[in-house]
Amino acid sequence: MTGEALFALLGDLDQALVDGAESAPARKRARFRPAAFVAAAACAALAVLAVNMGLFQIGRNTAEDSMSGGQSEADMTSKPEDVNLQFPNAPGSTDGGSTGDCAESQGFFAVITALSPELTVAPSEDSPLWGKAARVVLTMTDCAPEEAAMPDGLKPGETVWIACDLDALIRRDEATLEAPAVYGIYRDRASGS
Amino acid sequence: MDDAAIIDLYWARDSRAIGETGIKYGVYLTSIAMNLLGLPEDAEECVSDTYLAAWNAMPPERPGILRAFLGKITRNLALDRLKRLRAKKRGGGEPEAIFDELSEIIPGGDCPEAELDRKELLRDIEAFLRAEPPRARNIFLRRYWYADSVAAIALRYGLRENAISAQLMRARNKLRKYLTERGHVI
Repeated sequence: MTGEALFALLGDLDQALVDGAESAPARKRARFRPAAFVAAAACAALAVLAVNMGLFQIGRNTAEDSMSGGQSEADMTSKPEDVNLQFPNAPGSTDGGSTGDCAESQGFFAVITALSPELTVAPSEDSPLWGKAARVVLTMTDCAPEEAAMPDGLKPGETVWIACDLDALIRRDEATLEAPAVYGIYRDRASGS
Repeated sequence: MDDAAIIDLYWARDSRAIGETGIKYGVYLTSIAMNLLGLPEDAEECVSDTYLAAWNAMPPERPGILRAFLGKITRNLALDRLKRLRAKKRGGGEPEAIFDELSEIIPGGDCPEAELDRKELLRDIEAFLRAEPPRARNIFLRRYWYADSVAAIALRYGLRENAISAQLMRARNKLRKYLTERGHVI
């Protein structure tokens, strides 16, 4: 069957199906949740506190460098390529806004500062977003995990927190964040190495 | 004006029906025609023909989804026009790429001539698409129903072009496997 014949045949597809591709929102929009907003403030404060105290840092940069998005020369040479941060759809991930999620966030302790210049993230509607922090799963793009240089021992598939510019994050379905927009990556205490 | 009111105008043989259709769906229909024909003048004629066809079809037709009903007319008219243009060695571009991609799905075989076979194939393709996640389904339809360019789809969904191309390739392979299991591909 030629491609043209199949294309013509597809013209007879169910109209509701076809119209769905026109009427569906093209990009997902993050929903505003008052409870999540309140929780975000608490989590952001914790993130800033942890960084300012300089505690638990396992990256090579200083905490100040981390907050400003700066990178040392050593980090620039060892930075990972195309670190793709995606929001979790994994079983067990919880919706934003519950106090349980916030309590969980208190366990993060590690600041990783060797960031890629560009981090892509794909938020989904049911991802927890915490003002300046978002919970994400680290995945790699454009290269096999074994070839990838993850920062400071992070593993592909690991769930971490990032402190970031949420405004930049939610404006686009797949936002490209400049490194300065991501202030740090945090690992849960329970899952830390 | 809502769709029911526009359809009522067609049924009342009120010529305002065409103006209201143009206001509400002119851009949408033009984009479908442009995707296939590439030239604004060809697309404009195609959309005008769509209004005439809609005028002739309603009554007796009373479409459930006016936008899809009109879009289908435009798509069919544009495809017919494209065939004529190709016979004159005009056309090409995006539709050729789309036809090439689709030819991978059911290679070799002839187009089923029996209406029953066509309906069965169509029903299986619909079942396949309904089982796909909404976004994957919509990206497939944007490409192979609306004839959107990969770049346009990437822009629409905020993804990279190579991500869209990869997703389309996976969908084609999956559809081919699905149709093979149902005896449509030998």
